[in-house]
Amino acid sequence: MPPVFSREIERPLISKACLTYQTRTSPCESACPAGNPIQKVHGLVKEKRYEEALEFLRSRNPFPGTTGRICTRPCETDCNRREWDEAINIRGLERAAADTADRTRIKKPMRMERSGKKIAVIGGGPAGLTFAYFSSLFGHEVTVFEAGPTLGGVPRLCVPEYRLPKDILDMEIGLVLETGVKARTNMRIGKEISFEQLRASYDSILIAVGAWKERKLDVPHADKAIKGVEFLRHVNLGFIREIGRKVVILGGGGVAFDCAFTARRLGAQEVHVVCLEGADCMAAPSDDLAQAIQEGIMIHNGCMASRVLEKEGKVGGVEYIEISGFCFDDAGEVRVEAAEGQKKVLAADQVIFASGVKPELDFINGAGIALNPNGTLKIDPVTRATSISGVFAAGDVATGSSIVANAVGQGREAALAMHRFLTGDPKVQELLAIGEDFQIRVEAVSCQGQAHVVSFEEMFNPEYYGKKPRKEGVRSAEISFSEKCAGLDDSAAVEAERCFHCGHCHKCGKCVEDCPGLILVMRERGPEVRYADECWHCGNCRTSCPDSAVSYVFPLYTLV
Amino acid sequence: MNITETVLGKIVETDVLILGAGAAGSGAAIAARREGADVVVVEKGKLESCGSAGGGNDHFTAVLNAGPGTDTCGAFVDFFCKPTSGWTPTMLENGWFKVIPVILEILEQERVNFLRNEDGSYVRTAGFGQPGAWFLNISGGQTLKRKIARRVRAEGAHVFDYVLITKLLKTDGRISGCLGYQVLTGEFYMFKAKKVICCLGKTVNRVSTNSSGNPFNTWHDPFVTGAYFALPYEVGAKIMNMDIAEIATLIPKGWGAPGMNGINSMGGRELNALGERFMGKYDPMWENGLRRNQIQGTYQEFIEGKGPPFFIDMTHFTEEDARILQYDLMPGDKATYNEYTSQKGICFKRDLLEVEISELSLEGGLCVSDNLETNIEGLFSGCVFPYVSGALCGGYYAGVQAARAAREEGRLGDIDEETAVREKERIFAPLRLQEGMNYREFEGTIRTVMDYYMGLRRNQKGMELALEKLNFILTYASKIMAKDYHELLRTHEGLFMHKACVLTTLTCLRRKESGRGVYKRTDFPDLNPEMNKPLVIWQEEGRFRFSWGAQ
Ligand SMILES: Cc1cc2nc3c(=O)[nH]c(=O)nc-3n(C[C@H](O)[C@H](O)[C@H](O)COP(=O)(O)OP(=O)(O)OC[C@H]3O[C@@H](n4cnc5c(N)ncnc54)[C@H](O)[C@@H]3O)c2cc1C
Ligand SMILES: Cc1cc2nc3c(=O)[nH]c(=O)nc-3n(C[C@H](O)[C@H](O)[C@H](O)COP(=O)(O)OP(=O)(O)OC[C@H]3O[C@@H](n4cnc5c(N)ncnc54)[C@H](O)[C@@H]3O)c2cc1C
Ligand code: SF4
Ligand code: SF4
Ligand code: SF4
Repeated sequence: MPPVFSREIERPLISKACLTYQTRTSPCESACPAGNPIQKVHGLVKEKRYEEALEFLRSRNPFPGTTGRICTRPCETDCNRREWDEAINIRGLERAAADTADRTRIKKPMRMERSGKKIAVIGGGPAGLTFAYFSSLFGHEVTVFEAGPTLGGVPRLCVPEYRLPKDILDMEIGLVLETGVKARTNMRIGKEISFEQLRASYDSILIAVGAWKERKLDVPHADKAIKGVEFLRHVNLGFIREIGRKVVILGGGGVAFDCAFTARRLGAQEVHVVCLEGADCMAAPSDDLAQAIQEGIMIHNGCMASRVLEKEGKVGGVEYIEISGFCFDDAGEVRVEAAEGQKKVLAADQVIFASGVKPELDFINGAGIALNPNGTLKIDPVTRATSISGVFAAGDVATGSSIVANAVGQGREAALAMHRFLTGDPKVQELLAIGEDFQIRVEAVSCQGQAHVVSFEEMFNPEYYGKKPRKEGVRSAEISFSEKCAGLDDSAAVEAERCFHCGHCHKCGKCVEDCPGLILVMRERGPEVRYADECWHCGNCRTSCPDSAVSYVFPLYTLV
Repeated sequence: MNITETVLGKIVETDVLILGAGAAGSGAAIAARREGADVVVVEKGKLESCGSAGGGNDHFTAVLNAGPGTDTCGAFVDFFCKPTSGWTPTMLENGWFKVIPVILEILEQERVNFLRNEDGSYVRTAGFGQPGAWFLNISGGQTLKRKIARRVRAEGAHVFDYVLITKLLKTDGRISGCLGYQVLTGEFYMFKAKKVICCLGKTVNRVSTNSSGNPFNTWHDPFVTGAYFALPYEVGAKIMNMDIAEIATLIPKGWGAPGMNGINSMGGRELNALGERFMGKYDPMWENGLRRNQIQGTYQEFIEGKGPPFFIDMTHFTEEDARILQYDLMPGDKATYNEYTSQKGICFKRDLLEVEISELSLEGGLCVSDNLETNIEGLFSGCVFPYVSGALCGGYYAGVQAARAAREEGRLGDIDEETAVREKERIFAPLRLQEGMNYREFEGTIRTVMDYYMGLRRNQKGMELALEKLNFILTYASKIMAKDYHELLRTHEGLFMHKACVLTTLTCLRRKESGRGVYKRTDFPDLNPEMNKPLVIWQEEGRFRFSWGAQ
């Protein structure tokens, strides 16, 4: 009957569990696959406490400077403020914390006592590195095996520089290594070392090899075209420095647009994107679509390439047709519905396929690890283990192509799961908190089930926050490899103030003021019920709360 | 408004002083401001959340002269103007009916969301045995009071939140102001005004408990405990109907939540333990008849051993009706409804809702003339008519009348310093006691007496004993000790409640019949046609008086 207040966390917590004192939460936090403590960060950035904001971010995600730039922002799609005026610039605020904080003043969690366990990580992308970071903090000895010449996976090797300056990522990778993680680059498992050898030498293994096997469409002369991810990788590594005047990209997702914009930056004058999706259901982020208009990229929606045209042994262009619809089958292959209409032709100096990727898993052949129909690794949703003991998986290899934040969240959850596996302590999964002394310890405050996600309809007082326009970082119109989007800088604190703090009390005291029975009191940790048996369950604490942070637990005697 | 700081406390002067910021006080404040008066509202809680409407309301009674013959002033007056009601046709027409459109416009402007049909007209339903579909249904009614409050503040009323009024002041036979204190800080206040409107809420709660045993777990507002009667009575105001206006309803078993209006009017069927639908025996309109018949009927079944349990069956509702009722209208009356049903595992469409007879609330009214002024010159009442509509409209009308009177012949009286000093001393006395009785023991004992002798079945001997015991309890009033301001507030609430219980018992003792109220007298089981009028009580030279008939 008396209210229960859903409170904000006070200390960094590594696992993203439902907490006994935080039974309600926001759609943004619920949507963030990395598990960023978004609202805590907003509260701290509002007060310009950037260092603490970064500490909280890093307790869940060692790559906030990266996700703060290139995340596709599922949190903002779900942000309640969208229903009121505009979504909070959550990604911008994450980046602000990462960029503005004085990194020399960040307190770093201490490694736990050494466990003596050895872990091998296959793949040094965001999933593998996040996993390595936490596993190392948990006291295990971690070695990362990476096939490429550098760590960082797709963000390091493929994401174009104008979206993610590599020094930012390198610095964050450095902080992972600083915890004692060993890394061996140019080490492809299955080539330099076999999977069996690894299994024999380590207590446990994480597979985080991403999804790198690129599809090429089954059309005549496909071999003349190049593959998108490979193209981007070669540009990032400096192997490709120019491209022809006219470029056609086949595909409509984020990779296709990265290829398109990169082509423009390499000097292409005319860039076409040919994709199956209609104009109203593009898979690419909206920012990409806006940039495409700015940079004069021509998009051909609802079309499919029917052949690559050859000219003097080289690429001459693309022939394509309009389609009426398409879908994906269980294996993730495209099934196009009845092609119709006239064949069209686009002349081109280069054709790039950006039509999807799959995990490349030849190296585990024979190990008996179960796969999903789409070629990803099957993992247990709770233990995060693959079908064979001691082998875990995280990131794109388990979920299929996803986003960096997902790889980060998966990496962290896998570290927690493997820690439980290695120590045999079922409790450690519950909650690992970073204390005042920056020691990591287990805290028993996680609750059963999931926090209630507050919807906009449940926000009784958006007026409290007023209407205020969203702040954006300035986007330069220049077509170059230098970073396109600037950070929020001074406007970050103003933007953070817009946050409704959905489901987490920000201690405004309205409920205490509005309780008609005057039974609540305000304390340092927030409102508290002082006279529980004098509550009328009138709900005024709820209707006065601008954060929708109030729920009720009915006493036993009302339930019989 | 004029504020003077004195050694004794703050003196606040205004044209129109409104006591209580519930629906009636809010209506009064808006009206008096629109009439150009300077307005001070004094409320022991906070304007945004206080009063009966603070918990949320799901319907608004509106007769709009817009449709069938039952949607007219005539039908409205006929329904409410009964020999026992104490209201005149003029009063009902001017003070309520004619104000409905004004209040509706205010509510619409403040974006109160009334359910509408596809053509944009209001969804209108019937209830309370009323002849017409007079209910406008409110969606999201849990924020109704906040929206009204926004308007009160915007109109420029000076609102003193958290100030408890403990005494009314009279100078030369006229009302002149009141005394009170800030319940969080203990600051003492003296209010002076040309006219005063009493809007302290005409229900008296915490006088009995439901099966949960918790007196705050009530259907009505447990923080409204009878100052509306206790304070005017002290200065000689006439009070009516404290006997037959007592109320009870059905509540979900163990939880003091309202909602029967919505449930009954949408066609909920009440069943006894044998699974029989019995209300037809007690009211021709079955569940949708008079609420007191539903209570008496349920109680009769109980005595006959056909319950508990009692249930409301809504499983025959359409999915959509059941959904709107459970998830929209019910939380509108209590924002905590959804949690309750989910924690108890109730689905209206699937399960029978177990109900019980609620705790009793006392009720009554101040006797007023057609301009809603009491027999004390300058003291108006805003809480004349029932329901949130009646409170808002009646309050509004009283606001208009008081503001006009203040303008035409109003003058400020003096505050007798000695009275103020004595009252201040009395107010804070419980804080000075080193040992004594806790307010819980005091008001809890009142409840045991009321629950025991003043329940749904009563008789002369029992009521006389109740009175004797209430008087005995009062000898303990000076022993109540308050450890802090919270306990002090509850102490004064308990004292108001005590007074209201005494007045109700005194009145009931004189109504030697049954059938007009929610309770029955076993010694006088039938209606007495001679008593088809209100019982009026007042105090003259310290002595209790009563008479039959309001005017
Ligand atoms: C072009 C492109 C642009 C993208 N843009 C975005 C974006 O803007 N925002 C976003 O959130 N996501 C984006 N993504 C998706 C995102 O990059 C991936 O979801 C994420 O990187 C997956 O992380 P991971 O650690 O699982 O795998 P990866 O990042 O793929 O890392 C896997 C690592 O394993 C290594 N490896 C592979 N096989 C072996 C082996 N046998 N032995 C040793 N090492 C091996 C690889 O070299 C690689 O470094 C993009 C993806 C692509 C392809
Ligand atoms: C839960 C619930 C649901 C309801 N639903 C409906 C509905 O759907 N439709 C409908 O028509 N009606 C409904 N009602 C009834 C309706 O809300 C009331 O009739 C109406 O609000 C009464 O208003 P009022 O201003 O007369 O009194 P109140 O709202 O009781 O206001 C009295 C005010 O005076 C203050 N006060 C009391 N004593 C003192 C003092 N000594 N000093 C200072 N301040 C004091 C109180 O704090 C209170 O704010 C409902 C009532 C409840 C409790
Ligand atoms: S308003 Fe704030 S807490 Fe709510 S969803 Fe948006 S970013 Fe999250
Ligand atoms: S506002 Fe109402 S529900 Fe909330 S604590 Fe106070 S009495 Fe209880
Ligand atoms: S009203 Fe304010 S203090 Fe109370 S729960 Fe909500 S955010 Fe916290």
